Amino acid sequence: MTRRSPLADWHLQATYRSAEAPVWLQDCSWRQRFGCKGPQASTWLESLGLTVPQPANSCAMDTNDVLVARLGATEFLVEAMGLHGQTVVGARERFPVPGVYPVIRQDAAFTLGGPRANDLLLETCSYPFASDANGTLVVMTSMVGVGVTVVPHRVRDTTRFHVWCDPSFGLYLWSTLVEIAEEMGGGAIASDGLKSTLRGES
Amino acid sequence: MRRLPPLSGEWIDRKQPLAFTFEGQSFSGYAGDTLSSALAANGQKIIGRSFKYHRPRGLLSVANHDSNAIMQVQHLGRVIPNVRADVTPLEDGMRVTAVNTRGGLARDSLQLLDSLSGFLPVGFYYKAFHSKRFFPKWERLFRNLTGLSKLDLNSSRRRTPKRYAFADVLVIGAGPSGLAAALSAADSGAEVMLVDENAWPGGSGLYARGGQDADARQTLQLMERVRKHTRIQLLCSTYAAGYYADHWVALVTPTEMVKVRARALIIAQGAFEQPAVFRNNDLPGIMLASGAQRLLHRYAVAPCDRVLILTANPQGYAAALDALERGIDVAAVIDLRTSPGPASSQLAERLDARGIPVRTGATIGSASAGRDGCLRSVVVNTRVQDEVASVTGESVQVDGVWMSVGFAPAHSLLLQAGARLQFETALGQYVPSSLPAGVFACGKVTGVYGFTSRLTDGTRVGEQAAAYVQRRAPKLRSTASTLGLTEMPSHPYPIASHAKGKNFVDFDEDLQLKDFANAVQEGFDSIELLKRYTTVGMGPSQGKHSNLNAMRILSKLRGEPVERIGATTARPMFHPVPLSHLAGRSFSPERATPLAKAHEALGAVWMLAGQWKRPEYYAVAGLARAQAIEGEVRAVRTGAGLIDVGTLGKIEIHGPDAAEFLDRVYAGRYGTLKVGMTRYGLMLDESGVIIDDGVIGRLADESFYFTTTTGNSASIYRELGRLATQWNMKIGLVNATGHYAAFNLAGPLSRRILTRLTNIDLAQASFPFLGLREGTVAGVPARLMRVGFVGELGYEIHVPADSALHVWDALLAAGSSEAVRPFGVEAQRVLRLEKGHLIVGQDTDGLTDPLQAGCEWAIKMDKPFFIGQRSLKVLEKKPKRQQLVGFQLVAPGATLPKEGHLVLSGGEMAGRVTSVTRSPTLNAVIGLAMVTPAVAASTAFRIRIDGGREVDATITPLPFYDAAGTRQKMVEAP
Repeated sequence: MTRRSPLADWHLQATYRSAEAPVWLQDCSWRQRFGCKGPQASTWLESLGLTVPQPANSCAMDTNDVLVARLGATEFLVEAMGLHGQTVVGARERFPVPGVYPVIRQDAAFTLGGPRANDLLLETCSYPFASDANGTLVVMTSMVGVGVTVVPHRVRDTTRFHVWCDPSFGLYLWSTLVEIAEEMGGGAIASDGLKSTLRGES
Repeated sequence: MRRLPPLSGEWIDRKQPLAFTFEGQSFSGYAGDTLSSALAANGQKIIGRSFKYHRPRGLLSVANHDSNAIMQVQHLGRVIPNVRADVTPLEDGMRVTAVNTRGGLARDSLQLLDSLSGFLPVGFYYKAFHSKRFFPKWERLFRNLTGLSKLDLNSSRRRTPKRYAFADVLVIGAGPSGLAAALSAADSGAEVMLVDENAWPGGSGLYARGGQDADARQTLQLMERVRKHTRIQLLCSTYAAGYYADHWVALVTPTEMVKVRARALIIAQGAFEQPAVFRNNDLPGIMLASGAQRLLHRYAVAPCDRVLILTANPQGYAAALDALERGIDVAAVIDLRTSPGPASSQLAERLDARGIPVRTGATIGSASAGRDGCLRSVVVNTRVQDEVASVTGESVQVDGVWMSVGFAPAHSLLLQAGARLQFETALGQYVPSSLPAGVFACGKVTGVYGFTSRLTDGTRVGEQAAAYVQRRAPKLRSTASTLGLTEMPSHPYPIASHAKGKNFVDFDEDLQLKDFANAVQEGFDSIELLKRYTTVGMGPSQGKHSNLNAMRILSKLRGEPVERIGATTARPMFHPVPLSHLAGRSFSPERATPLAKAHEALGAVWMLAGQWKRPEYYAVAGLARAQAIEGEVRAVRTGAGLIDVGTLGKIEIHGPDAAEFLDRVYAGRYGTLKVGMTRYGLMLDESGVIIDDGVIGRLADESFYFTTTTGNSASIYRELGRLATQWNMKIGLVNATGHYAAFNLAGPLSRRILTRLTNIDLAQASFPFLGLREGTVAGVPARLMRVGFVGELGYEIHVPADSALHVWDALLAAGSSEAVRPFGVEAQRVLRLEKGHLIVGQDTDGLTDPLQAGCEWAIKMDKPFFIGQRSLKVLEKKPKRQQLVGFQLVAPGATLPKEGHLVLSGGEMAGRVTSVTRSPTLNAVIGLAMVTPAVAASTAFRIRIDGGREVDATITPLPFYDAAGTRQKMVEAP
């Protein structure tokens, strides 16, 4: 059975742009991820060998390209940012774990990039990302009226933004942002058009 | 009016001449000119017609606040209505016309109205045109006579997206105090955004020179420092239109609206110069002194050849010196005061040295126009105790009058931000008495008028704002708000009555002094009532030139000091904002389940349920809506139907206190719920009112999964999170609403279909009614709940959203031999109504408690506590106010009532219909109604339907269908 992106219907009639576009969005919903919360969540993630960030609203990446984002004191989002998600799938299959509550994460997820990415954010989101792109920040805010989690990340001299939202809002959020990006000369790029990772390796 | 020789610091570029037309006549100007300055440079004294009497009008403030300087522009294929000429840059090829004329500005046929003004006093239409028969005709007539620009619907469109911006300190106003504040804040380490509505910063520091250039040079130095400062972003041609909570400020740029969030805000918007009121004070040629100075120094335009200065402060004397410096003949300076202050006296000595007469204790009694409709002469009268002492006075031939009699602080944004003001008698104006945290003010808006004093004030406030942002104590402490004040800048009553009237208080609305007396005489004697009756301050300038004088007049009429009169409420927008800026792109989030395309392919007709798009029904070729819905209902009752219920709120709760938590937030009992079972849940608020319902299932000892209504999932999740924190309970809440898809496979054949796809034992003994099981469906991990919302054997199937389409397709394929049919929201409503199930929010309202709704069975009053329990204990002892009952129409073929139709008993209103439908199963019209207890205890009532007709209904026990519940519990499926 094939997992289906919340943006799958959009891709059916998609026109993709080049990764050189001034602003682009790439659907990353296919990535393996899970969430967890509970009093033992942090300890359990550490026991799996994952790098767990200490302050809330921060994130960390381990050597296997697994992102651990701390969304609150005891709540986490874990995602395999690379193509291989075995670590994440393996961890997900260990539930139930005492003191750790599984959080289903079927998010619409995408990466926003390009030299004009921040311009698009300034039109759609009231958070000042430009001043906070230090690579460890997790921002939970609203974008075009939709609750999103955003991780800004520096890649060479530009900032990319990894965005997650509830899948039921995914199509609306994605379509709206793509429309604005197209007005800026950009748009959506194919999922395999840019081998993007949080580390910016390509 | 003419262009003057080049001047240091002028805003125009004489190397870039521009051509334009006004009212069809060709003119030229320069880059850097505004429409107003270019017209003035070309000697165009009359630029518009007044709103009501169509009197000729000229420039007044040159400061972006005049209704008479509103124009229509055609340029580059666009027709732009209501352009504000004072700030709109001249562009080559512009075709400019005046607004509100019939036959053009010069030959406006509606100028006849001026001679009829005696018959058109304020409020005349309230008294004259109240006939129902004739009012529509009068309304059409006046709509045709009034208005500003004409909208051209064929004009080309442009997008105006909004944008967010951020700053540590936002400084509004880039005059001397604003410049100083910005520099001070930036020097202290803050990131500063500095905005000004003009094309260049500098404010009065550049134009109010008093015949000398020292202040202007210092202002230019400040501007240069600002330009070079790396922590200051300067936005010109941008105004702050409104303040909103948490230091959000709406900035309007020429092309877009920018929503700025600042950590601190400095208001340095200065003050609006106010006109004097005397007969014919609106003639072209009569203007504010500051407006004349703007023309002189920004655009090198002489507004007149011979001017008389009417003043009551040092600024008027300084304007006279500026006029002399630029070669304009000054006929005299007329001072309303009998004893000018020391600053005025010093300046008067300089004027005296140049032979300019100064007359104190005098005023202009009236002005007269020449054949061209512009100012020709004024009569100067002695002024005694706020009155013109004699009608006859000295006539002075002038083509210009500059008025400098006082100021009104631009404090609208301060008020919107929550500042409190107090009237400072020594200043004759309101000043802030307290400011909200993070909001600062400096300069004229706080009563500081001297140039050096404003710099000092701005520097102090800028540092304080930076300190606020940096969370440290300020280094520069507060000083007196009226730094260096030597005399009052505003005259307390610059108003002269005249027997023949035409002494205008509000130029936007053509309001004369007598209009205020009439309004007060008729009882409209509070400032808010006066505003509404006279419409003072309700024109395009929003009272910037009229509110203060209106307050003074009301004060005099009521015999009370101005501070007792109060001010009208200041609301956004502070300036007129183009509708295109407000429109822009709007964001209205929509939610969709993963099956949206699948529904479309099946012919779904959509409806909105909160933010969700849901299939109302599936269209069938050749069938009307009602027939299609009826077919869906029959499929569920006789075979199987499948509905997407993924919009339901879905929440998980884990932890040792999970059961206790649910017992507190729901009215039922869940601590005793067995693992693998579900139970209906009713959620109440503290007053016992039903706010939500759903099904709670127990996954494990410490884990539950429950649903909420579609529209309430987000708010319920937030509230539960709040309660968990408040009660300090050991639980974890997970909002899984969008992450799980859900379908209800319902109907007597549903078990047979589902058996083909699942590894769960569906036998009655293994999976009874209200059971909850986990397993797989079509190979996908799934949660199944045996619930009976539609009153048939049914399975609610919850699967991860990314597998939704796979499972949906598999179910339809597996049920093809049973003719399983997708059904929509409307069929579900019929089915649930047949079963007598209520919908929270439709059959209940904001006052309905479970006792009224007949849900006593769902509340466990013997629990130690649940939200709403205390109120229910009180309500139990009181007679019910209303009660939900089922009804059936006596005549099955009667017209279908609608939800909300009145229930009548004995001819009196006795309730309302909450749900109603034609039941294909029962072949009857059935419904629910919220009625009085007396009606509920009876057997019948009437319903008033559209058109006033009435239909008979009988009260019917619930449910209408399968009262024993055997179908949903179906032990042995066919």
